[in-house]
Amino acid sequence: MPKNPTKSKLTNHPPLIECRNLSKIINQQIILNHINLTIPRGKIIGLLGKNGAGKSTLLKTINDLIVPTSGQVLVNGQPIGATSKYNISYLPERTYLDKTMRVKDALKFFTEFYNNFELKRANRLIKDFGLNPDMHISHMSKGMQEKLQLILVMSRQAELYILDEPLGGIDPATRDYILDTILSNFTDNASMIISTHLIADVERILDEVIFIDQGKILLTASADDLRNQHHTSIDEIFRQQFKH
Amino acid sequence: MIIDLIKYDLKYIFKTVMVFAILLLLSAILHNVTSYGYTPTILDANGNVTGGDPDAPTIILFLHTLFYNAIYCFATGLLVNSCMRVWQRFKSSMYGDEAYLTHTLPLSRSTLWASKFLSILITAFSTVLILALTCFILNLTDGGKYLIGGIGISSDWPLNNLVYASIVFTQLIFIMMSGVSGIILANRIKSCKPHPILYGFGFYILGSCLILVVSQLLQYINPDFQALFGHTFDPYSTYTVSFITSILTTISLFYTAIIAALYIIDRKLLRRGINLY
Repeated sequence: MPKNPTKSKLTNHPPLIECRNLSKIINQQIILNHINLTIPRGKIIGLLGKNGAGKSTLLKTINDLIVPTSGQVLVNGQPIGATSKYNISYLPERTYLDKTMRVKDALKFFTEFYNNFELKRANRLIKDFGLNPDMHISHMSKGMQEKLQLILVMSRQAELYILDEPLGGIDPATRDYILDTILSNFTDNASMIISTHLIADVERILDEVIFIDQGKILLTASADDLRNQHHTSIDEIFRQQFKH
Repeated sequence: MIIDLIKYDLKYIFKTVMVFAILLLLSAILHNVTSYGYTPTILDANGNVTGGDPDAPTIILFLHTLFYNAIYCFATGLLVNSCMRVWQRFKSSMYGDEAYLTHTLPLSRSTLWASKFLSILITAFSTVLILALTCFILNLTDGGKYLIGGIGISSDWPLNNLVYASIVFTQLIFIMMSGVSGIILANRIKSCKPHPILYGFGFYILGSCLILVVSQLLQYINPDFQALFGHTFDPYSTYTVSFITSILTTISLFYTAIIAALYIIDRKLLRRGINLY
């Protein structure tokens, strides 16, 4: 069942993201192979695939961090630009914060650059996650830095949240708490793309799944339909699909 | 928003540049202070010491020499550090891990590039300003006057000094821009391995050669350049201020033209997009 039932009211809008015949070739190696994809509004979508399947490259291309060899990405029917970047909140797989900053400096930075950044929400999450606003980012562990980035990303009122491996550096005990935090801070009508290997951890929150392998979209389906059809979990279906 | 971007860039750049600036100014002040004790370099036409006290203690003599050399060291350090910090900041914020944040900010690439260019201008201007302030401080004593006179700066030629500053300013921007262009080009055309230093050096050599060629060609139009490149030029003779000013102004204008060309090229390259692998 979709997490946002209001989605049906927005059917007249162009799709949130539309990838048209998207390809990327690096050193004669095909990373993305003619990808056609539409991301609707109000859904949580799992982008699932093995290492090197093209998940991160696809997400980077959507975020204008990689120039496609051919094809196009449209956000709300428009090419990527300042407006689309305002509407997309992206969590990359690596830590991108200036290490010389303190936690409170990072909050100030986001407040200055994003009008849709909610400082109150961020401060509350920082308290919930047990982070100290006066702490230097360089003194934080990788897991703490990832938590801070997640807080910053989820504190924005965006139309689309793109999370690339959000649970990668988080210990198993905290993962559920993080997922609940993601869900509870998820803006109405917004969509979310989560790229991860840890399918078992995230599958409970997914509306739709996309399987990607060797730069090609293998499958796009509703998570519930897929489970009903195969009478098993998404994790198990993934394992069977990508079995060597 | 562009001001905020510049603010963060300058904060990073000036973190170490300011250290060199303070040390340079401090060395200039201390050089002046020790100049009052003994200045062995100020001699009259007959080789007699005209300034300071010839019987100054050894410690004063030692300190004077120390600060004299420190000025050269810190001035060089300031220039090198300004360039290095600009390149370092540009590389990390545009193509390093921080680039994931920079390029997802709600800004166009043109705005982003404009902010980087303005940061370069402000850094170069501040560096020249600090050097000018150092010269002003040194100009207050005979020993200091002798030091800056060695690089062609004198309070008797205010216009010449201004042109001198403008050529250092434009050359500094040109060097910074060459490095930045190299970084952009390396990211655009790399198949896998980046060679930003090589490309940056290439831009610098290309720009410098272009200036040399145009200067050579100018000798057919401008009599000052004709004197500079022709047989009549005598490196040991004293040239007029207007002659030096004319040459330096023209070269400064060439640098400005090349900087403008690099600005346009870099802007176009950046607008085509970046690749963060």
